[in-house]
Amino acid sequence: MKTRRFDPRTFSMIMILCALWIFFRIQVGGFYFSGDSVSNLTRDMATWAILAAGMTLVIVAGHIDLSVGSLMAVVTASCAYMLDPEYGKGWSATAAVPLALLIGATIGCLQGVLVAAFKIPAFIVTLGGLFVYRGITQKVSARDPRVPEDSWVTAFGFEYLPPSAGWTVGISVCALIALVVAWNRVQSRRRGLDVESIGITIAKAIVPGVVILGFVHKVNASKGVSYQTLVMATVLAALYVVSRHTRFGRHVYAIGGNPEAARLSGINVGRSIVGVFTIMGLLAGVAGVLWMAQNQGATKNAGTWYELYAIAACVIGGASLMGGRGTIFGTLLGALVMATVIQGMDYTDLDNWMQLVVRGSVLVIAVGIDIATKDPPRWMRRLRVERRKPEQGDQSDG
Amino acid sequence: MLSGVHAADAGAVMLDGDRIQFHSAQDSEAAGIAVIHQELALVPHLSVGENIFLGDEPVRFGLVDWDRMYHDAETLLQRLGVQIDCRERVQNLSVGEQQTVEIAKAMHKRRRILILDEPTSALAQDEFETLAALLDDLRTQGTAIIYISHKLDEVLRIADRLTVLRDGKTVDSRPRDTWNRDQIVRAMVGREIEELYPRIEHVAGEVRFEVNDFCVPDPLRPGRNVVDHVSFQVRAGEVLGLAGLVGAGRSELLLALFGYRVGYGRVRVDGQGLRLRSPRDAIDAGLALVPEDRKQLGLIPSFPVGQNLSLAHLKQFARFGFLNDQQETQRCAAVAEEFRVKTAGLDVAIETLSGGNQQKVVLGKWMLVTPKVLFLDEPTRGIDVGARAEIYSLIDDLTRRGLAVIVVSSELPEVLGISDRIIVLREGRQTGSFSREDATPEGVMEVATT
Repeated sequence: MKTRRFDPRTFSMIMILCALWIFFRIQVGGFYFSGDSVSNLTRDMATWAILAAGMTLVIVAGHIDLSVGSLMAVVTASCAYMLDPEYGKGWSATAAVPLALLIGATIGCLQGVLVAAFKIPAFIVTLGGLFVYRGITQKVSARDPRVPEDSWVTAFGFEYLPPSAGWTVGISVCALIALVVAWNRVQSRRRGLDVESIGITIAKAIVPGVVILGFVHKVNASKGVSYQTLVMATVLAALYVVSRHTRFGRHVYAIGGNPEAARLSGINVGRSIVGVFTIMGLLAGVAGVLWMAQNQGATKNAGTWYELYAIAACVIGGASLMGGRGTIFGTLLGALVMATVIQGMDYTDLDNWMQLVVRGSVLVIAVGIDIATKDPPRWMRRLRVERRKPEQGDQSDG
Repeated sequence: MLSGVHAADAGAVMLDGDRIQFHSAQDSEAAGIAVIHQELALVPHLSVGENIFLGDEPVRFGLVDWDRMYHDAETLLQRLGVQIDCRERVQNLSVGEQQTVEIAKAMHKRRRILILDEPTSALAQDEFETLAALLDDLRTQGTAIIYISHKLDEVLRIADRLTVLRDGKTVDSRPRDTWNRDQIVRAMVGREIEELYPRIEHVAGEVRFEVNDFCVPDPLRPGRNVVDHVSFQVRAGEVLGLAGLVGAGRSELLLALFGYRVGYGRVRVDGQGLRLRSPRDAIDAGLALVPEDRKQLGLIPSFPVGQNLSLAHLKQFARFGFLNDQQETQRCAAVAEEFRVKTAGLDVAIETLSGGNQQKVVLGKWMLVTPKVLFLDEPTRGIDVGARAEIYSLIDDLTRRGLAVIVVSSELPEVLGISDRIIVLREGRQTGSFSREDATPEGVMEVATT
């Protein structure tokens, strides 16, 4: 459907993000906006931002997945086990990685079936999964399997696109965005639909381009675009398209909004739910392989609390746990907020216990701000009314 | 607004001569006003007694005094002259009984003013009489009652004074005796309408839709049927009315024929047998259903108007699963215009539309691909008179296009007014069948009740 007017909440999210950046720039100093720093930020968030992308679909469908951290760890462990020549199977990455992704997708699919066909609440299914997969992880990664250094998969932990390749990718993406925006405008005009003003169309084509090219320019000053960041961007872009421009995506939103009305409209609710959880599992697999590459192996504590980072990113990004609302773009912003806070605290040498306190507070405060601007509780609304001039009063439709 | 949920812009509310202002629902309750909404505000899994005393349970030594609570609840219900077990869970009561519980709750809290908002939208005709008698009693006991309803007969039966509002303005307010039905309708519509129901002769064609020995099992009582061996035919270009009281199994029949709930029997569309495993099967076979409860089954509240319109027929805009936004917008805009949906645009939130326009969206969403058979369950519930007339004329248009239409309605004049043929259900069984000429309110009511 036609793009809606710019969401004020997205705007407030961006403002919060900028405020955080300025705050940490003051705290940390000139290093904060350097290529290294920006590169690290987008590299370290990659694993759980990928989980958050899948989580967005799950939450939009009106469910929750608490198991993603453990599920990711299972994939990490089993993939490393398949690769390790000493304690494990010593297979090549070409065989092990697809198999590991398949494991993730299969487990996700299974959870989906339990939710859709057996009507067990997703909260319960995935809470059980959280324990089960962590247990399996401990068994499989008991000897801390290592990834051989000559395996191609390690590139996803340590390689960067050379600057020229980074520019090529960046410019191609910008060109693609501009092309799609232009094509949509031409199509709308051809069909005699309302067309937005030319300024907005140009802004739509230019703004993402400026951000992308600015990012490439920045990280090229250090080592270039990391493979992790590239994988994360690809996943986010793919899920953006799935959620906004496919029939499946529309069905997911409909189910989250009103499952009964969705069923009466001919949507196969069960199948869509299984689909959502399968995608979630597959993405947990992708994140797992990335984690393994970053750490050159597996440990039994891989991905601890990642499910909570993922959920936090979605919720900060405006997804409603009641289902039906949430966007991939919002989740990206939410993930950036989380990542900024985590990285900033690392730079400022905050104690570990304090870091946890701040992370939790950021989640609650960000959602609090969101609710206060969108749907304030009654007492807050009254404060606002009283502060205004009395004769203006509140809007009434009763 | 009076209940304190919305604030006033201007003007004064006077209670016993004092000017009062409400900031919240609590303020309004404190002033002695009780509001009974269209959607009942009871806690379904608590007992009748608990619901009546919700918020001020009798307490002894810090614990709830159950004996006193149930005893008081019983006396209260007796005073209202109803037979309800106050230890029963509210969810097991009929809608009419639940309403009585709400009134009992209001009485318990010594409310002086009772506001009823469309109390009968979920009631059958006979239940209305019980309610009316109850309200008569309360009136003699000195309670002021504000009765909000679209149903003119009810208002005329109950009210001492009648106020007609249109578009948020008072059109007229006079004692009951000075009003008659036509005057009210005229005041409501703001223009003369000769007749609400279009009296048009439809030319019926071939048999479009055929149902034989159809049964719908009762999920709550195994072995019994909500709909029991019902058979009928509908021709192309014909409107079949399904009359009966609430609970007669009409909605259940439609939902089962649409594959939404389980049903057994032979169903044919244009002579072709149908297997109904899901609504998808029904939609693919050319069936369409406008459900009774828009909010619950008809609309996705988080979707804008356009996405609600396209939801059931997304396939035609998809290639390899990817949607063509422009094609979708174009088609939805065309349907919205054809069905006269008044909206600021397709990307407007569906909740901002009036009930009548929401209903047109629910109807329009099936018309992206013209169906063969259209089921309408209470098509004008909660809709004002003006939008009603529009819905009727839309139904008429569709019928002329050769659709077979089946209408369920609890309002007898409506069924009689728009149907070419009527069948009557009572407790799931087919008890009568009328052609347009022999259908009289009395005749239909007789087979629906006895």
